Amino acid sequence: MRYSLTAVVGAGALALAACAAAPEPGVKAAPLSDAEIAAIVFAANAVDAETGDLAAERASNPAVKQFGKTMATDHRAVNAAAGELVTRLKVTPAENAFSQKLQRDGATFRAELANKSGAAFDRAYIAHEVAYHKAVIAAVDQVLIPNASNAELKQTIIGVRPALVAHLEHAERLLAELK
Amino acid sequence: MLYFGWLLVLALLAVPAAKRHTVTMSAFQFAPRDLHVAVGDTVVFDNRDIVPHTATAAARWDTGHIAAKSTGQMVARKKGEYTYACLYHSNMKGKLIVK
Repeated sequence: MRYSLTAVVGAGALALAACAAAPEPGVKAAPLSDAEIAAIVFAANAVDAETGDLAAERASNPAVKQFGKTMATDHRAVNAAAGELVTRLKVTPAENAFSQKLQRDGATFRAELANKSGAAFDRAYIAHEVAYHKAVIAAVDQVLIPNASNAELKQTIIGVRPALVAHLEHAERLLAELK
Repeated sequence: MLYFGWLLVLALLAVPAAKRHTVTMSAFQFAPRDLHVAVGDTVVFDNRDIVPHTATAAARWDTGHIAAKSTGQMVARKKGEYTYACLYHSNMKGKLIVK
């Protein structure tokens, strides 16, 4: 089953999982195009890379600092691979309501995070990473993969999923250690 | 002299040649997860992911940073069982058994 972009955006970025699992009744289906999916992939990775940069710079716990560096490295690597793919496929990413909301929400969260320090910063960042990766995995499973038309694009998104799961498990373990 | 030459040849033949083993790093997993090797063998870690990894047995041995789509390696110097992980992705775990 495909879910509409309207339904996805309506619930907000971090409510994506719930929204994708239960789209609003009566919402007219408007499947995402590959160009829109590409823009969402770029935005989701760029947002987490930038948040990772902030954590790498400001976190007090060395493990949290390293996690931030890893997020910055990994999500930029995914975007580099995605960039090569869309160039080859001649797909121009099309900004859309969801990709824009991801960017806005990312900037808002980074501003909030920048006002914190020490253990409060570390906990807020890692708790956010747990929620963010859960939401993105749900989006991958329930929105991005089902909507992707091009086989290579679909396979690339499927290939990125293990990275997201690894990040989530790592963040969950860190969060348990921080509590 | 010829006698000692033959002894040397026989001695060399008796020593098993060091082998090369490959562990792939793909989809954030080591494969095979458990690997049995002999002292002197080389283990090549082939990173097929699009992100960097390491294979690190804390305070024992460490391949260091292995860039995406490249390889790193270690030589098994000492007998033992070594659990190892990726420093960047701690859920990636493997075990090296050196006999």
